[in-house]
Amino acid sequence: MPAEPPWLRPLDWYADHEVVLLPGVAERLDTARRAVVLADGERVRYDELVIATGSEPVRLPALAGFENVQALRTHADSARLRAAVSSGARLAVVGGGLIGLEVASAARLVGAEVTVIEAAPQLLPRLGPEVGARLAALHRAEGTRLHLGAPLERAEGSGRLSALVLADGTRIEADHVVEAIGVRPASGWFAGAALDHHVDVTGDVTGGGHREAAARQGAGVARALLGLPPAPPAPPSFWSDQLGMRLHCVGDPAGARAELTVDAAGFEAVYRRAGVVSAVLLAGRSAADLRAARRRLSPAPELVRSAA
Amino acid sequence: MTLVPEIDTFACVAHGDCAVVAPQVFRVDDVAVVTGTAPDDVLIEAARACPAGAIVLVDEETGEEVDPG
Repeated sequence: MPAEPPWLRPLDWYADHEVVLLPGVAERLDTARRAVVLADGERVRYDELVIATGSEPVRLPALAGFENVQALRTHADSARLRAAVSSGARLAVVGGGLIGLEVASAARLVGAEVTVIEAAPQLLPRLGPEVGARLAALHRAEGTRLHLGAPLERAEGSGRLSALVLADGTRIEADHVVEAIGVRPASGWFAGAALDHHVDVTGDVTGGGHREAAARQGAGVARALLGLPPAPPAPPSFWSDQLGMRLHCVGDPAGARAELTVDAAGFEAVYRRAGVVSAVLLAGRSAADLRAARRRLSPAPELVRSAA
Repeated sequence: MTLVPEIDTFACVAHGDCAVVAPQVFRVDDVAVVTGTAPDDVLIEAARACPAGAIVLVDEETGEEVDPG
């Protein structure tokens, strides 16, 4: 077994928990014979199968084939990005979502010249215009150039990309480009297979998107397979490290109105829908604040019991 | 200052980051459990790594929670 990333747990954890790690690439699912066919031809038989192959970056045709364009998904991707980003290097980030903004902040830390291009008119539209504007101001204060509402039109260069041209005609020269426009489920390898009750599909491959949801779903599938009662319901949650702080959102901010409180360490946004708090976004707040927000947004155990 | 780690089992989602930073202190099954101890700086690093903010660091002398920052 290769003793290298990207294993999620220390290698001895797997042995301690009698989990066999079998490095390989799943290529096909044969539900009739209950087997996963690997790229090297090996067939792995199963009684119960959990598919948790995650997601893969969406790539833009306009950026295909350039040697200095990359996505950020794997450990190898991050090593490549680290090697490409240095003081004075011109980094362009296509996509102003969480990953794009994390890359921008990290690259500014090492002194790269960073430009983020986002097709939508604001950053992170799901978090509402108030938070989008606040984050944009903080990223600009860090020295990142933001182009919002500026879809990419084409790329210039041969072999190496030399510049990105936006729909409004803006031309952005770049030494390195990160594509961060989103992910799609890594489900192609079992497309067309007739899934049955011996197969559970969980995590990002179902179209989720954040690590916490994936972790909870995975644990839920394991509990169901073992005949254990389900864990108590929890509010959706995600986090992101950028701007020298941690952003943490608990609850569902979609369609809610945000009220911001800003202080020197960061800010807090409380989202209300019809007067009821639906989500809290904490930026640069304490662990105790986060735990309090999670309690505030969790269904009361009494209600869960009476509903069951 | 001597810090004592506790796990808020309501907040813990068993991400496992603490056990990567400080395997001598944390083991992760359904939720994380404290199995050992370590110097304050290691505990602070582990608490910072926790995406759920589920590690509560208590100052042994005052009994107060210390935010890992």
